[in-house]
Amino acid sequence: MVEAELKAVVREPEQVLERLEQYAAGRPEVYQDTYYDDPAGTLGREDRELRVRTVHGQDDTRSVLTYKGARVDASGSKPEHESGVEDPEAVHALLLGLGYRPSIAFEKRCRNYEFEAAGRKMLATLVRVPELDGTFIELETIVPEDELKDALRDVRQVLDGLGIQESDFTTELYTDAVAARR
Amino acid sequence: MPTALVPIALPDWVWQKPDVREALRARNVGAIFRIVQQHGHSQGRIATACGMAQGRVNEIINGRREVSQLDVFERVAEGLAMPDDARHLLGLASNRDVRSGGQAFDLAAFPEVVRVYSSQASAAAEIQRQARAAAELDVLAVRGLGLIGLNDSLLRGSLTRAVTRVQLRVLLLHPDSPALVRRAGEIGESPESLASGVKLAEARLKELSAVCEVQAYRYCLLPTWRIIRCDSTLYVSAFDANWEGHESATYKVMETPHGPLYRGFRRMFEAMMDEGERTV
Repeated sequence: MVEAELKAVVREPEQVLERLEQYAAGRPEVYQDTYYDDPAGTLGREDRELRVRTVHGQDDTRSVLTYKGARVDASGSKPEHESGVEDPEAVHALLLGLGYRPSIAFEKRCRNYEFEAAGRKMLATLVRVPELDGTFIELETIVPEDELKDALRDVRQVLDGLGIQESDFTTELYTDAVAARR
Repeated sequence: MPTALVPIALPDWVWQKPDVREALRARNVGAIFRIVQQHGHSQGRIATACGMAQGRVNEIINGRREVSQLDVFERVAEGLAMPDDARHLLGLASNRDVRSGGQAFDLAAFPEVVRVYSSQASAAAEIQRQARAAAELDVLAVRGLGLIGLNDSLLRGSLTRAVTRVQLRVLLLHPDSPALVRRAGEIGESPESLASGVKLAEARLKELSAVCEVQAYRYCLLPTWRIIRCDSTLYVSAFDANWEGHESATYKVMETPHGPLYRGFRRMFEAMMDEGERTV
């Protein structure tokens, strides 16, 4: 499976939020992300990601371990493998033991919207990263790799309906943007 | 023929290639120029686009000269029509203005109160988990026996670390203050009993210096807020007449750039410590 995902800079956050709230009720969550890499930076160089994320939500606090492979096309979509984690401290110790080190850690303030559009389950996330200027939107749907093209077309269409222009799409990774500012 | 300063437009995917990203991150303009050459653009064309002499471009490509000045990076970024993400990797700001919705929008869309618990008991497991991973712990309480003073207190078991030592700061109500007498009346206890509870907690806090960096202070204000801070997360509840702190609903407040609650509680804690009387 692959995450058909597009990300864009939001020029009119109030307007986009208003339209999203018509799809679903927004769920505010704080993501605390720690990315890991080996001392040589192999994963980053190969466009791969290894991450422990703790999600602070309204109903629970949960953690997930995620591995993302290199992008499979120009949209920035990446094959993704993810699993829930009971004890993030134990996973931290486990990754250290395997030779990985935290390469960067930062917080994302998110507002999530789950809804169906174009016959697909979509997750839209409005994102603020305290260290970065601006508000971002991510829109994703998980699909088999051979459906990626069609899924991306649908994702683009939903973004268009939210008033996001194609010229505001970005493939920049938060990790790179945050690292560039530190 | 391209005219002077007409930018070179590379396909977007070029800026996403790992070797290009690596070159941008290293601010290695020579490597970037070599990649531009591989896409069919001559040194002369690069020179025109970036407003440089061709000889200079040649020196940079051959590693005889390095770019270090910000205005030159800007010219290169503009000359190669870099998208914002490439500009960021190079350490430059976005090309276009980006806008967040302002403080009020941010706080409404991404509130600093992330979760509400009906009582401290319902937050207990979460607080303990946060406390186990925290480097800094602050506690504002009345006598603190439920939170930290006794062996089975909420936080007592979360203080031992394998490598580093936790920084623990605790504010307790002054046993000889008028506020303590008033608080004792509010919860139907004698001032003597409440004061001895505070002193017991202080004695038990002293023992903690074996496992963490502990500081304890006495304050004289009327108890109003009950706060547990684990690094950048606060758990806040309130004391009121006929209302014990652990019975109050608890807010989980996380630090945000503009959040007044987190800032205010941190500031209040620091001020109470400054004015407090240190006992441990």
